[in-house]
Amino acid sequence: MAKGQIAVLDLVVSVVVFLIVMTGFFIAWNSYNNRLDDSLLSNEMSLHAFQIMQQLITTPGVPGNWENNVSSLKFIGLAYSDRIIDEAKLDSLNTINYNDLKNKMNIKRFEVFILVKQGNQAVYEIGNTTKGKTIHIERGVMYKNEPSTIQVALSKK
Amino acid sequence: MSLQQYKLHCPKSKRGIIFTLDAVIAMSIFLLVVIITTFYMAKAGEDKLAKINIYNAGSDALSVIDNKNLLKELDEEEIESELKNILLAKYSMRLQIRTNNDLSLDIGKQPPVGRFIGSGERFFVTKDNNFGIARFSIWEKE
Repeated sequence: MAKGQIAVLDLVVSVVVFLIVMTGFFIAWNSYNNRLDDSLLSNEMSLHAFQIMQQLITTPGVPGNWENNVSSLKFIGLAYSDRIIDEAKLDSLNTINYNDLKNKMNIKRFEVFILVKQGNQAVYEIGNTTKGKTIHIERGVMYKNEPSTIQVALSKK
Repeated sequence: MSLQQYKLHCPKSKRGIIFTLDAVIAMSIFLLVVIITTFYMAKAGEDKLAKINIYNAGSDALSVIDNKNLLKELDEEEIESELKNILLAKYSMRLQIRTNNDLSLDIGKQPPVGRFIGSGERFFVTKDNNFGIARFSIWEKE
């Protein structure tokens, strides 16, 4: 094989390898970009869901007796005491407009769904869900003097 | 190394692969970077939420037991039965209760080795006005 042909063959092979590397690079870049976006959204939603849940089951809200005057509500909490749900507060939650509820929880961009269960039976539910990305959090509480679970589902619109 | 020097030192059989060699080295470096990045991304994406949920399940179970005044009574059978009721089937939990009058209760199996164990403690007062501490260890069953 002549010297000139060797150089051309070398160039062709190297260009092919270079194209493979570049294609791989763009595929990887795109994949990592998507995964990073997804991970950021998951982290944000998890953080919101954990904060909302902690706020609901460990604090009575602000003011502490907001269930007597729902319009005075500044900060939602459902606890009578640590992880004991106050029935009156839960009932008053139904009287709040769904969008106001989301505003008070500072989650305008997401949908929220709250479910209280005793055993396998749902005893209370409020809110909406979507088919988009959803984060579920479940905690154990006392409700009406019985061990119960409360679930918060946060989903992307 | 100049082209003249390369021609002098490089054997004839190895001539003509300068570009290819360069591209192959670049590809190796690229693949190495991809593998390392994938490894660290997978590690960063480990489900931290699951670990927090495990801890919360233990903390909530202990809180419910306390709120039902079972810690006050220190009835081992009652506590064990309530734990079975409130704990999700996928979790196992060990509870160690000690009081300042040397009473001790150990409920549940020993935690496994080499797995994530969530643990925490809660202080309480017994019906005899003694001070007590309940420590929980919780893990996911295999």
